[in-house]
Amino acid sequence: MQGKQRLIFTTLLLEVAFLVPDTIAAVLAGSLAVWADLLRCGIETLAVFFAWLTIRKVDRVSSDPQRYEYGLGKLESMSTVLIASIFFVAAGWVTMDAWAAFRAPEPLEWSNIWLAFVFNLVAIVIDGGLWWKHRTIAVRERSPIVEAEARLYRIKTFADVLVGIVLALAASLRGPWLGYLDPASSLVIAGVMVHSAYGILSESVRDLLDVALDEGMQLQVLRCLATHFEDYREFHGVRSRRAGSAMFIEVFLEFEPDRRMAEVQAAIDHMRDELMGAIPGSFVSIVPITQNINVGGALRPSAATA
Amino acid sequence: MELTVTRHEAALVVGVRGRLDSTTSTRLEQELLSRIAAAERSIVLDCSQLAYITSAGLRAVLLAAKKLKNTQGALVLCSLNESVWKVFDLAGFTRILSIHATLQDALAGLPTR
Repeated sequence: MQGKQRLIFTTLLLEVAFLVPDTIAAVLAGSLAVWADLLRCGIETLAVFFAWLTIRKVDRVSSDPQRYEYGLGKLESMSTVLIASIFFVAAGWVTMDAWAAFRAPEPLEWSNIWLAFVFNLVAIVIDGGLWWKHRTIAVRERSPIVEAEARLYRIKTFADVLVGIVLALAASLRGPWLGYLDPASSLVIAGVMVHSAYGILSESVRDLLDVALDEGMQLQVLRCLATHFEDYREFHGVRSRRAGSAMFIEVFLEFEPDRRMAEVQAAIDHMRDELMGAIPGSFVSIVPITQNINVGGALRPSAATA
Repeated sequence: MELTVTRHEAALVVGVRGRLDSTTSTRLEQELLSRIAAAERSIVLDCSQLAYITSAGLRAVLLAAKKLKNTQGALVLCSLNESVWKVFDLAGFTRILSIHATLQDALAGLPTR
């Protein structure tokens, strides 16, 4: 968790530091694409700030884990919903500006945009690097908030490259159509924002609704049950859910009634350790039970015992 | 998903047609459990028309297999297509279940009622 907090704080400092030259470049350039990029950067800085606040809160609450035994992961998911919402607002804003620019297109002048072009080249390197770094941590820790940040930097890198191309074309070519290039590219940036926001939102909403583990992990659970097929008497069901980067798995098993408690506990420990090893970030409970569970989680009598 | 139940001399054959996923596996589970509760001891699950199976379907199979084992019965599977076989194999079920290439093979392997 400390690694995540440090990375997001460093990112926040970089974001704030870059807003100043970006604003100067946007004012000088007078390009809608550069303004759209600045707007996006500003909102993303806000998003990173929220992400940092969330991670800080999660870290603080983690020192008193009994207070929010299952809810910490949801805080991360809620923060990513906020980030996605901000993206939607920004995309709407950029689209409206682009529409206005299409009605009165103005070509860009190289004398105004060269500074923006230089800053843009630096931004491509930095945002590309941050994208790679967030992606690496997101894959390792399966954290929704770092995943959202990785998506954010993927968009930033893409947008930086697009703005760079527009500025380079504006500098090297001439023609009345160049006036439409600027709003058209800002529309592309808006489209990418919406696409990414949708991806973030759908993932976080699944987490908030306690989505079960994906098929690959469900098969891991079943594989463990198959391996220990002789260690339990009956299988009564599996229930799982994700909360942020944590995964909770409950396996309901019935054991032979004449087995000693110590033997049952040893079997449970063995299966639990095996599953937690197979599914990193999971918290596994093997629950001795004599009833079947249905999909909704409520208990119902099993057919054999009813 | 469609279920067909056919009585054979050696066993009850339950044919599964279509997709066995979280929305359909409950029906199979209930069908198998009600048959087991009615003292059925040998069940063949004919998967020749089973196009697709998820972990939910596998859970229903595991549940029934365990119940039958406890009553000295047997759950036997047959005619799995390649993709369904892969899912069973990934879950390790090919090591704990008796799986045959054809229905005739499956029935031949069971004791006569």
